[in-house]
Amino acid sequence: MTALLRPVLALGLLAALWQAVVWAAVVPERYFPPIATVVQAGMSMIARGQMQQALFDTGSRAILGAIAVNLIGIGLGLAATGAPSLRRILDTVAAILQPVPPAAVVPMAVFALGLGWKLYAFVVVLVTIWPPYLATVSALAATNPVLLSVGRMAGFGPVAMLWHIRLPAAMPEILAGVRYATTIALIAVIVSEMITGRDGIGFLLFQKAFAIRIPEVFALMFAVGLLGSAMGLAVSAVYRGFAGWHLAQRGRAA
Amino acid sequence: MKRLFLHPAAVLLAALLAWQIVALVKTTPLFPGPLDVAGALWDDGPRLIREIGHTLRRAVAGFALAALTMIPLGLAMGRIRALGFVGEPLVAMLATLPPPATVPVVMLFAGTGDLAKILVIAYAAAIPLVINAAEAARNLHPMLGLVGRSLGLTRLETLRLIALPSALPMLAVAARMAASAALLVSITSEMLLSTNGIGNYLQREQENFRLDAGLAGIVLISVVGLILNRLIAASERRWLGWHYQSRTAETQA
Amino acid sequence: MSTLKLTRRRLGASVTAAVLAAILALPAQAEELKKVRFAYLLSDTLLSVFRAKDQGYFAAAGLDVDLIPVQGGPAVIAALASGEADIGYAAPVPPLNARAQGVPVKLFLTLGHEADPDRKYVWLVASKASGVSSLADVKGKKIAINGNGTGCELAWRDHLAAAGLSYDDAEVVVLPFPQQEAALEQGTIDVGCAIQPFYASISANPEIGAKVIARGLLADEKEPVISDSVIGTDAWLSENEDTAKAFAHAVVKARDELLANRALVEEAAVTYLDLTPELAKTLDYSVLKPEVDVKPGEVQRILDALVKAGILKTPLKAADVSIDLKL
Repeated sequence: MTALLRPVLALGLLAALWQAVVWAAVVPERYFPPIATVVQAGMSMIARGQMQQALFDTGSRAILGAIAVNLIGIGLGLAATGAPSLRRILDTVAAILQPVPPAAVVPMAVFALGLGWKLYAFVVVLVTIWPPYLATVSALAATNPVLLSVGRMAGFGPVAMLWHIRLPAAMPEILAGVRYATTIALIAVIVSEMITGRDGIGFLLFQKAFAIRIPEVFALMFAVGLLGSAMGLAVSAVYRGFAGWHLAQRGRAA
Repeated sequence: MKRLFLHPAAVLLAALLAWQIVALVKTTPLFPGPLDVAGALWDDGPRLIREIGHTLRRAVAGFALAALTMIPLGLAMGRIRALGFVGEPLVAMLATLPPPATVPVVMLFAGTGDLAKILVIAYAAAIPLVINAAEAARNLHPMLGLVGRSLGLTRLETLRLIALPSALPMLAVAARMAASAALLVSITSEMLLSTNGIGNYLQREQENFRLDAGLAGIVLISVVGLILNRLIAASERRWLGWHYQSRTAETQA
Repeated sequence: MSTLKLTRRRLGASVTAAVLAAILALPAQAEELKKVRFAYLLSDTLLSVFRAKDQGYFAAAGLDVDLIPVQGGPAVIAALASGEADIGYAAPVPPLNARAQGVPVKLFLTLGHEADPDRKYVWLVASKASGVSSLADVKGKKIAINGNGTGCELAWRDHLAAAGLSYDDAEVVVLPFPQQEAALEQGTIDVGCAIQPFYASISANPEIGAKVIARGLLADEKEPVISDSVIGTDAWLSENEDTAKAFAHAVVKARDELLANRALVEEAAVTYLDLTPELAKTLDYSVLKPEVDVKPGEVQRILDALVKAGILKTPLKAADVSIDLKL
């Protein structure tokens, strides 16, 4: 229950801060409208079905992308842990690609990949894969030696060691990587939509700005925040599930 | 033999070779090969260096601003329960806003000059810093808190003398993320409102369909990011050597 | 109960009618519609294309036009070059720029022209607070363009050159159209570059006290200049000239209807551009020339201006960058 209460409270606080800025009248209301106007704009977009459609388009892309990329990232991390030469290659690739901003690549990637799902997949993978990969590699490398000796005493082979000891111990750090990756997957999807999208929140942000519908632009930004919070809550739920598993594994190993 | 074959440099070379071959087959300016990119890098070299200077200057300023304000805020959020209770979901909500989408809002308050860009950069760098600082301060070993209390430290002193040093390893991780976010957003913000910087260069060349020059800019960004990463890793080893030493000691024990 | 029966009966009747219509339409449907993927940058001149699709004019001409919105002229070119679209719509500058860099695209239609004195749809507009009242005052001031290599850059360069100044005399800021009004009002820029509907919004804002210091893509438009372009790749155009013509005829039909009926224009602007009804009232939907085929002379004028402005490094011939369909 508190899990839901907190985002609601945060949203209220944000709205209050927003309104305080409006009242302070630093910026003309026309460009920074009162919170009631923003809510009204959001409601009218919901009534027209626009908001739900955009949230669905962007959300499904981001969620599918985040799940796929996190699984690939963790998988690569596991593979790299097993094969040091693969790890050297992947680390080099990560170091080269990580600093490249998606906004810089998208316009050029369109020439090679077109405007469809391939583009989204490329951008999401490019920016999102490294946190889960790096977290997995570093967490697996840092298993507490005491746990390892416990495993050895129990006569575990490499696979059993990985499954029963190293992976459970690494889970919190891996999930921190997953959480970060999930957030940036959403950002990557929206940025792609802003640049070359035909639907979704990013596209709508662009379209509304060009129709001078400023309150609707802000309503969309609030919606992004809510979508992000929902995705964060989902990752936390997964985290709690794993934490239970983690404890169970520990119990069994001990 | 196998060693040599799987060496990262060999793989990189093979990838470049494959890329060059595809580019030779495609023969369109929209698919430049590594040689074209190298040519553009050579031609635009001095200009590229000048532009990346602007980019780095703003990235550093934004990062510094974020570190100075967000680390204390994060530590406080981790130690003061009420602050963390509302602060964390607020941060989680703001974390999902794409920095490019915040540019128009920031512009309303800070204009279109350096300040606006630095604020957007600071916003992006703030997210990992504040989250990790809060997490580290919350997971502070209970024993350390007790030590603080028995020494009669005030809340502020506990934050500064106990919470901050023990949060350093996690802050180092956050700093690395924040630094790459700062560079990334510095470039992105230049693509949206700017007169200079590598992002402005990239946008200009892309809109003029000079893809080889665009890729040259991206190569430069990669190299700078790589150097930045190494620098942070080196300073981490230097400043946090004690932490890794104690970890190794643990391992040896 | 009786009303329900009535509706049911009515429903039955309309289903029968629909089936009958479908059967009657079958001979026409038997011919496969030719698929045309159209990548576009949202603009008010495109209302005719949206209308042609929704009224079935494309289908009647044997075309199945798929509308693909993208953001920015370069993205339209990218969609064509990647094979993601067959034809596209953009301002004339990006495709000409692309052609100069060796991207094989050509202009084959234009939906709008500019000409002196008042058929000009790019505005260089200063705020009252900036103190700028003519092009000569721009020296050292902050001016905005919506992007590099765009119509705004061409307009600034051409007008400043005509006034004896250079582009480098001003401080240029890249600022998307939607952000320029606030920037003008707050004084972060001195002069903006606006198109519709932004110009209408800026000029109606009393806080800005807008002063237009120049109008039009080019300073000299005694002869008409094209203000937009429909483009295709060389490969597509060489094989689909008839399709291109069929497309043009359908667009012209829809455009003639819009020109004849102001209410239709405003309705379309609300539907397709998402404008508010009030903003739609300010929309200037008129054309200079009823023809939509591209005349070499009109293209050459822009090409020469681009070279003069230094945006194009080498001169190009209109015949190499456009096709006159002679509709």
